[in-house]
Amino acid sequence: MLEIENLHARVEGEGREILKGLDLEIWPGEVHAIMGPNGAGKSTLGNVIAGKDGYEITDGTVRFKEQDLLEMEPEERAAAGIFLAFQYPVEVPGVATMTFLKTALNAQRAARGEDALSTPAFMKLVKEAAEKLSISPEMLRRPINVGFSGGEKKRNEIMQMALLQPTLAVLDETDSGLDIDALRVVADGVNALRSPERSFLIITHYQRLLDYIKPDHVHVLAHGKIVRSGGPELALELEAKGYAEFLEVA
Amino acid sequence: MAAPIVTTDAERALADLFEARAPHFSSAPLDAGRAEAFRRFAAAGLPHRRVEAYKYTDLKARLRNLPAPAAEIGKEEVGNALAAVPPLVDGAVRVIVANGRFAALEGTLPEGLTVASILAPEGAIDAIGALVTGEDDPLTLANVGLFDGGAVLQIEGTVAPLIEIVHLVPGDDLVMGRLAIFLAEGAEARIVERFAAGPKAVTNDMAEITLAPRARLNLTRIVEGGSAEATNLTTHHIRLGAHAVLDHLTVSTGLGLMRAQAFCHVAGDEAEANFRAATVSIGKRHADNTLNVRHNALASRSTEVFRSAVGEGGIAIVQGRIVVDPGAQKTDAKMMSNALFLDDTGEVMNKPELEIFADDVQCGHGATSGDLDEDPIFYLRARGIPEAQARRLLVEAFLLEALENVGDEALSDALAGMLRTAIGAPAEAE
Repeated sequence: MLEIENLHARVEGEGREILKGLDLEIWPGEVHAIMGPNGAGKSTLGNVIAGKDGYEITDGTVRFKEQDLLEMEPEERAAAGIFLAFQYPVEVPGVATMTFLKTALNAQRAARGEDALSTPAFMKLVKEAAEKLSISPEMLRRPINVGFSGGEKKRNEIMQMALLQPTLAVLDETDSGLDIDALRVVADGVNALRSPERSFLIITHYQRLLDYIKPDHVHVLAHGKIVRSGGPELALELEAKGYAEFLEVA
Repeated sequence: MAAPIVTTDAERALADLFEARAPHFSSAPLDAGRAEAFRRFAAAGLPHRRVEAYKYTDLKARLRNLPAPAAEIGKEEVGNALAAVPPLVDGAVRVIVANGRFAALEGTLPEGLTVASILAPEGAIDAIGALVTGEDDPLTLANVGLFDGGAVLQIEGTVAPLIEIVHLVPGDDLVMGRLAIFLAEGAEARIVERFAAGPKAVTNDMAEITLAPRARLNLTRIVEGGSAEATNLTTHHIRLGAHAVLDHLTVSTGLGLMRAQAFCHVAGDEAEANFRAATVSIGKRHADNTLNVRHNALASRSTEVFRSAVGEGGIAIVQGRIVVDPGAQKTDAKMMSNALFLDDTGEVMNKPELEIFADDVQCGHGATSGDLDEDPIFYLRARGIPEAQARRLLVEAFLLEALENVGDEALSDALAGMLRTAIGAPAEAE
């Protein structure tokens, strides 16, 4: 589903590379966790997959469902099935959450040649998704993320994911800023979406989230590349030992 | 020594018009006031860039020639012209001012509202003219000297339906219509004022709006410029009594020259005036919002929020002046002007002025101008919304925030649709 080979990337206009030859392969239905210390390039990886401006790819390839992902606009990637849950969901004053969700959903459907959803059908979908994540109708009427608490913003991300039904969801430090109850709600939301066709890439600094979302593979990202891969036990090992040894090795 | 100001063809035409009309003026007070007002206008002529209040809108340079003054038009022509201007919302009562003269009422006259021609005996109310006595704004003086006619609206109690005042100018004429609107003590009303004029028409309309104590008025002024050669000049003179509340909004879109002025005297204790403006200035558009708020009462409040989106060479001007008179303690006045550049060709001029002569007040102003933030654009794109649509959505959101006080949902939707169309978005929200 996703094949990343020898990916090198830097911030546009800066000399220093952040990703320095990253390789990663994700198959349908798999849940991968990428762990690493601050500054390892975790968020850069998420942003590059989603197509954020401001990064320069200096080498390597990223293929998604046999397509060259790096040639696609962010909205094309979204329509193809990529979803990035933002580490810091953006506040968008003046755009009601409901309007945004409907516009996004129908834009993706249009890009895939599908008909727009009728308003009643859309309302039903949103209502179901919102209820599962304890998002009130009042929140849906508010501008996107404006006045939302940290937990509400993250729940809003997961609700969007549930609505848009991506095939690859990249969760960028979704656990940051969440208390234990919110973490559970978010994890339940993610687990409910697990399926043989859908894959997840969970980017996290701490092992904690992985107590709730069981990964199939865990990778350590340090100094811009994956330095070790293993099963769920690797996360526990990292939690116990920290990242120091990888920082020295790399 | 400054060079002498040359009299232009336009100024000569106005002087000739006054001379031609003067013998026909009556002895009624409004007519009696014309000569002095026009004399004062003519002494300075059309305002130009060396007049501070007009430094960005040089009317002397822009209005070299004027079209001929409009004649009164018949019912049939009014009806034909009106067919192109359907009501903004269902159930509104419409006051039609055609070529500057009160022409018709459409819809059922609701209880509490009386409408008359400003030139008719029943429209002769002593208080008309009170808000412009001693006024030195040249557009006001020109209107007081030369107004063609207009309407007087008196409002008592609560008038439920929306009152829509339509200024119709079917031809490419010079028109100066005049309105006087009185809200009695405790009265409440919602009014929309809009203009439908020929592509080369020059209009200079003026309204006096008086809110007695505890009156509440929601007033929306819509200026849609029909062509690059259109000129729309509109001036509101407003007075608020104690505890009166005004929510005022100016929405402007389209092409050509427009200057929307408001002079507001917050005269009553604890009165509140809220001014909003949503301006789309794209292409050959010069949109000037000029506001002058004077507080001289205790604990009165005003807020001013201007939102302007400019592109393709469009120009937006915001002049906001707040004056707090000596003794107007506990005044709370806040002004904000935000401008958004849709590309790198538009121009925005912000001129905030605060003149504060009382010591126990809260006054502030701020201004921002810039492009759309990239982060929200990426956020929307990452959810599958194409870039152009994401940008439109954000520009729309920026402008629609100026509609926060409209209250009436149907009107708010109609205004939002107008702004969406102006920025090139589909009229209906997705």
